[in-house]
Amino acid sequence: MKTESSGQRLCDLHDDLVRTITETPGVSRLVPSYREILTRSAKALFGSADREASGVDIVTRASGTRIYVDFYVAQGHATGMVVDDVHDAAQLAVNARRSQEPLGEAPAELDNVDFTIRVLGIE
Amino acid sequence: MAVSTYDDDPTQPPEDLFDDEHLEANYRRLSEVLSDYRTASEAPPETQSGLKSRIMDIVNKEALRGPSTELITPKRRTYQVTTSAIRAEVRDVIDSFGDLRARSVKLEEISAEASQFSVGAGFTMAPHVAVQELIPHLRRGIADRLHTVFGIDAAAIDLQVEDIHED
Repeated sequence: MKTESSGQRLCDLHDDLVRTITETPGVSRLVPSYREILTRSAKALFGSADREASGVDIVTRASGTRIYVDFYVAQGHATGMVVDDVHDAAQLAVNARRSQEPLGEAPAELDNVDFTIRVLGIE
Repeated sequence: MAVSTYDDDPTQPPEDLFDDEHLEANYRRLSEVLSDYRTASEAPPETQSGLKSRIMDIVNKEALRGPSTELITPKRRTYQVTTSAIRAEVRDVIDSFGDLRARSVKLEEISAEASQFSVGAGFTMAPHVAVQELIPHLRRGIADRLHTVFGIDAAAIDLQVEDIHED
């Protein structure tokens, strides 16, 4: 069950991820996925305020958390290496959030985290 | 003969939607998103109609990106690249030979584990071009670009002159 503190944790994690991924060498810019835009459009239509789509979409399910990231790679960088760097940086951000929780009280959504990364192009 | 349309049952897709594999994948992902909101409070009909058209607009924009190709990073993680981005790099190599203009580019996966692909590219050339002399350089340029940018091993590169263009 998503509580208010759980929601705030995810917001904080989201902000960490946006910052850390944007700063990763080789990332030109994050791009909101259609899923993220769709989710926020639907929420807005049903009167639920939400932040702007950012390009980092965190989806929590009973089986775990999946983080979707879409971005453009900067010219002169190999896409595979940039993806590895993004993955590593994002995992560090998740681990850092987990370590801030009291021992044994890390939220379940941070236990089983997978990343789905898509490169939209080179620019 | 009755023709089923999307409006007859908004929870069911048109019969021909799944002719396109990419649209099918998109539809299934959208179904996941919408199922998150089925338990939400019922919105008025005009809101639902607005949501439906907004969804279709977003799906259309996503469909314009086209399909993605799965590749492998140096650390053996899988990730997606829009196939149009890979084709754009091949076109860029061809266009960099000033007397050539890229047209069609096709990619066919040979081995997912080895990121090995077969590449087919068509182009037009200026009339004075000695194309046979250019072919080896073009092949090397395409292979190098795909390997450097995407880690792709272009195992076979098939080049075809599609037309002659005037300068």
